[in-house]
Amino acid sequence: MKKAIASVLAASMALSLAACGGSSTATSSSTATESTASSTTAESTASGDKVTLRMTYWNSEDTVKALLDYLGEAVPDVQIEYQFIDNSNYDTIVDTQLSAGEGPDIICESPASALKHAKLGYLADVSDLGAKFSDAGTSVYSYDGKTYALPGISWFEGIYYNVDLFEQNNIALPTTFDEYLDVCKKFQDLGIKPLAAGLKSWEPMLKNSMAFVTAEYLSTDEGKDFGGKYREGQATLNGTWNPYLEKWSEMITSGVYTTDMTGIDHDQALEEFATGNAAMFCSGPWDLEAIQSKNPDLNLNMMPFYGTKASAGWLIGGPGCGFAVNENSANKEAALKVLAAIATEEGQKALWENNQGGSSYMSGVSFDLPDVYSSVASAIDAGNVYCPWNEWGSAAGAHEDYGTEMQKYLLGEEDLSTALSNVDAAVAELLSK
Amino acid sequence: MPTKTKKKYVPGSLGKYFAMFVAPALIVYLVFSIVPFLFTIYYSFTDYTDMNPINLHFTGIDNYIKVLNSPLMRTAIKNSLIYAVVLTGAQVVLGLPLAVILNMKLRTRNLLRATFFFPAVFSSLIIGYLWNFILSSSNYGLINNLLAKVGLPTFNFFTSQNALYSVLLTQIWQWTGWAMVIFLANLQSISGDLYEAAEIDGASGFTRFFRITLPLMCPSVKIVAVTGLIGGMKAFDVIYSMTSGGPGDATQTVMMVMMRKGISDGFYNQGAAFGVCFFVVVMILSAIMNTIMQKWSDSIQ
Repeated sequence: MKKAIASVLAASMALSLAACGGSSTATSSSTATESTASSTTAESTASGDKVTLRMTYWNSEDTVKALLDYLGEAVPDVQIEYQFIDNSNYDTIVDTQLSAGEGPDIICESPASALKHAKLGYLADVSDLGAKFSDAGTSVYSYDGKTYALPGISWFEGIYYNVDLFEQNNIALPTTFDEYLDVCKKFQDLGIKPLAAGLKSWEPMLKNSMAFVTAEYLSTDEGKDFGGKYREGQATLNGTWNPYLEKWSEMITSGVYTTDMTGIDHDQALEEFATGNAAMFCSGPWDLEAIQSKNPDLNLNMMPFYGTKASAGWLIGGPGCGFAVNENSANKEAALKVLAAIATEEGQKALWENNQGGSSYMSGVSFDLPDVYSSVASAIDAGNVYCPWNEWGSAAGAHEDYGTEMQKYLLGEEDLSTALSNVDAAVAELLSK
Repeated sequence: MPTKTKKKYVPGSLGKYFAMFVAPALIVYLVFSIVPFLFTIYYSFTDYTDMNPINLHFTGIDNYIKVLNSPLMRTAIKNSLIYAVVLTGAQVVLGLPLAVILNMKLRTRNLLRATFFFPAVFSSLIIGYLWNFILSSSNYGLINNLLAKVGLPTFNFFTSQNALYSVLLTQIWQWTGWAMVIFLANLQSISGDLYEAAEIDGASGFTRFFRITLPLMCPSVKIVAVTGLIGGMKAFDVIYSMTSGGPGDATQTVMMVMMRKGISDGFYNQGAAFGVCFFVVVMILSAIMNTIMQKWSDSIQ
């Protein structure tokens, strides 16, 4: 009897365990509706005659505060109820709500999720408003010739550098990849860590290497169609990107990226840079405040990534979150009115207010670049801001696989072509859905 | 089980209240465990993904073939097994002597017991973030900073080979004290007479431990082993906070991969199939554990 009870107990433990692992998709819908319900009751009672629209985003309300204030004035008959959903659950919750024919009225979308939702017919066509924006911004939110989301303020990542360390040691800013390696060598000789990198995360090498491939290949006539072909399954990384990444690997062989760095995370790398222990650090405007709060006296600026040939340099980046309207929303007209208000100069300005440094994709709207980004001004002016995986369509999520494969490559677990073919396999699987 | 015992009751004695007492637990268990699990099995045979959320089709064992052919999922199962077995083994091997020592009449006994148990009070997530700083290879890493100051070469805890064991190290540190408490409770139930008799017979300390203490510790070892194995197999939070599965796929565990493949990548069907495979693995593991433990307790009697 005891034996039987013990095995039943063990089995039931295992059962509940497997159930909670596999079934989170099934249960997430209930949590999602719950959270919606609670937030609706909080706001809708106060709004009177106003139409209440729900808007979801994976960043905190602070990042769109000015925009919400502006919308309150510009569209007075609409009350926007802002709902923050954490990034790690965002797609799951929004997907589930949309598939039930419900969901937020205004949805902030990443290029990959916008494509998915557009294909499934969840999003309203906003091509008319989209026409006010440049192609660079709307192309990642387009499907079948129609635009489904309005591009937000752009994000970009470059290389922050410690101006004082460069000046004190008489080191000039590089203008090519080889010069960049020379700069790193000089710092190494001085006993200063050239580049702080938190390689415990897959992100730094993803962006750094892709920026190089962008400069060398993706921005050239030969390579500019690669993204389009890749998302159709007509091209592979392995066999195409190898020569460029072989060259980029000098970052590893020259000791700028070391295997030791896999023991450092993003925040620790940021700390190394902020405290003057490293000369450079790859990141974007979102980290500026953290760096400056750790060391207010730090004199910093940002330089772009370079290829082997002289150029204005490149930044990894693209349109920020896209604003889309739920096709099945009961208040679709009101939601479209809100989007129309965002697609004005004032709307863009309000959006920029909490995302300073980025630029608007709306034609004729430009903002001053804060001084701290003066060294990337020419790259931005040249339009050299590009995010390769934004072009990968429904396989965009595989950029994470690319990052982890680069970690394995750094650690000597596998060679470059194995790493690239593993990414190709992950992309093929995602495209097969 | 409750339904079985129902038969034993004479109608009228407790019968009609029985359902009332059982219902809440039964309903919760049904709704949150059994039904989702059945759904999981169902989804594992369909083409359910985020791109195809409504019109599900039966796809046979396709998802299972994909799971078994996926190197990532095999790595995850391997890592989870290593993790669970090493963690459980260390808990027993380190926790048992610790409990025996702290069962002796030491002046600082209570203080030491509290100290060893203390880490178990915190969430693994927090422990993970803290150890991140201790093990970091940056200038701020506590251990590497010390090593560098003494003039020794620094050590990277997060390479492909080391990462899983670095995470394990923190978990052994965290959970050994917890195992110790369970062992202590068991130890205190062993009658002192046995030791006295053994002493009179001239048994040494070691003989007493192996001939008296260890055999009588069977029940608590069983508890620690089963909870340790199952807890180890579903490890998620500490991996998430310390390595997020990296570098590369060096610390991918079953739960991490299930989250990534089954949720983030939107392959709900493969996630479900993976969950079912995992269920089978845990079942087999539990069965083996039970057999071993049963043999052990049989041999004692």
